[in-house]
Amino acid sequence: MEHVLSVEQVSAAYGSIRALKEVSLHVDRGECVAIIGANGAGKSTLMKVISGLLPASSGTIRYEGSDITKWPTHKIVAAGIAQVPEGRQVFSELSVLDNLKMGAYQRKDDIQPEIDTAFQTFPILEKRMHQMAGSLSGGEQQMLAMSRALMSKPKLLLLDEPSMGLSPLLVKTVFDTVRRLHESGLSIVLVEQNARMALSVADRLYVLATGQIELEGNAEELQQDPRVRDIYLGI
Amino acid sequence: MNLFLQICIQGLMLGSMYAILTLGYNIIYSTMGMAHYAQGDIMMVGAFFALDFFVTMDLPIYVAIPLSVICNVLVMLVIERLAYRPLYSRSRTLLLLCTIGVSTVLRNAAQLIWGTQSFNFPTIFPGDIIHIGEVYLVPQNLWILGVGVVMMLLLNLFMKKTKVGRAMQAVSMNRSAAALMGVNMQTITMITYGMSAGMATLAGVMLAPIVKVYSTMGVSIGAKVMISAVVGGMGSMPGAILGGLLVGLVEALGGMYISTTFKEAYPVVLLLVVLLNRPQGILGRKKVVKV
Repeated sequence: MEHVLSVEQVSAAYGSIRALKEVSLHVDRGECVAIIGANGAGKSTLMKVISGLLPASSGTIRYEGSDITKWPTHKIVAAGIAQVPEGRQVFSELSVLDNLKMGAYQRKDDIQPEIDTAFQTFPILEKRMHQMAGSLSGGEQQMLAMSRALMSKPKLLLLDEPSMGLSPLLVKTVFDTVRRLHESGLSIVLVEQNARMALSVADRLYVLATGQIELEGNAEELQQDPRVRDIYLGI
Repeated sequence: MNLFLQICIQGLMLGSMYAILTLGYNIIYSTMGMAHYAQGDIMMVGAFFALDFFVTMDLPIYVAIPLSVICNVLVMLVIERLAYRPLYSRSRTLLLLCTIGVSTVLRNAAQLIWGTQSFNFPTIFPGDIIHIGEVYLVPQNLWILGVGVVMMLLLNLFMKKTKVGRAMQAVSMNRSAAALMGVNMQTITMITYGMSAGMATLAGVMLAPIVKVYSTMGVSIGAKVMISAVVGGMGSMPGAILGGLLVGLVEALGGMYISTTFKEAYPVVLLLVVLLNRPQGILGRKKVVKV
């Protein structure tokens, strides 16, 4: 199968601190790949490097055959990669509706169908459409952040810790949405600390520790792996 | 009472131009996260362009103003490209120092090109003094106030209703999230500086008949712009308008009822009073940092 995204030997650093050390991974079309790991393992750094927010110090990132390693973020978004950043990062002083419109910033066609989809998926957003995004609860902000990313009609969705700070019920809502997106054929990279949830939706899994890929494999196989069970699932 | 009203209108007229300059200063502050120290000097360069086109070349005013705006925006964009852009990834202090340097360079370049004397600028809005009861109104003052109000409304409309305006707001709220929406930072940066310089040029042309045109005119006006920004609340758009109008009023009223000798000092007193009571500015919000 053809790789939608392939990360080849990518390293990245904040000043002299090396956050990623020659990380390689790939995402096939329509696949949901989870990246799990502890705090500070480099998961978010990897997301930033893929989106072009942080330059890779070495290595190559390919997306649908093109080398996007040195592309600016807006060009990467235009190519079809959308990211839901860690901590939601909604535009707190814009209304919910304006946040959604920002998600469609580069589109020239009619965005109403996607707005309708967002409101159908999360009816609470329609109720709050004229409210400032900053006044929403954490869970509502997460729904908004996901809907906003989908407004660009991406081919690859990067989700950075969507369950962070949410109640168990909301975590389930968020993961149900991820599962539905996956079933609709969207390619997804899911970064999570919540390994159990990640394993429940992902096809394949990478375990990142101190900036390096420690383990990789099929989600079902890794679920049985004693190392994963001990450290990340706590069984 | 009549005198008081007249002085208030004079103050609001000056203040509306400070407000326009401060709005320009604030859009740079909020979108780029930097204090643009050279804002007053950019206004000065715009006023000199207008002097060249309107007085020296004798072009009609409706040609001279757009031409000055275009030239000054180009000057600003060249400065952005050569002086500021290389420093965006470095510390903000370096950038601030750089804008102070740019301010000095602009002032001295203006002296080389246009000389050190001050030039009279004929009024753009002639007309007889209007009497309403015992109140005497200079048409020029009313026009300038009107131009100020229209510009504020247009800017508000632009920020709220257009895609680019919304993107500028988004960038000021969260830079990296805006990039993830596909906002081209370079374009937004150039639009921000361009708008700011265009607004400064218009304010410079409006103020030119009142304060005359000279190479250091941006120094005291630039200082008042920064006072207006802090008084109203750094980065706040309504704050810029309120701050500008207050500074204009304080300057005019103090000049009338106390002494014109200390005209430059009254806004500073206002600044001190505001800073002591509300350090974040009248309409500014305290920054809450979530951990």
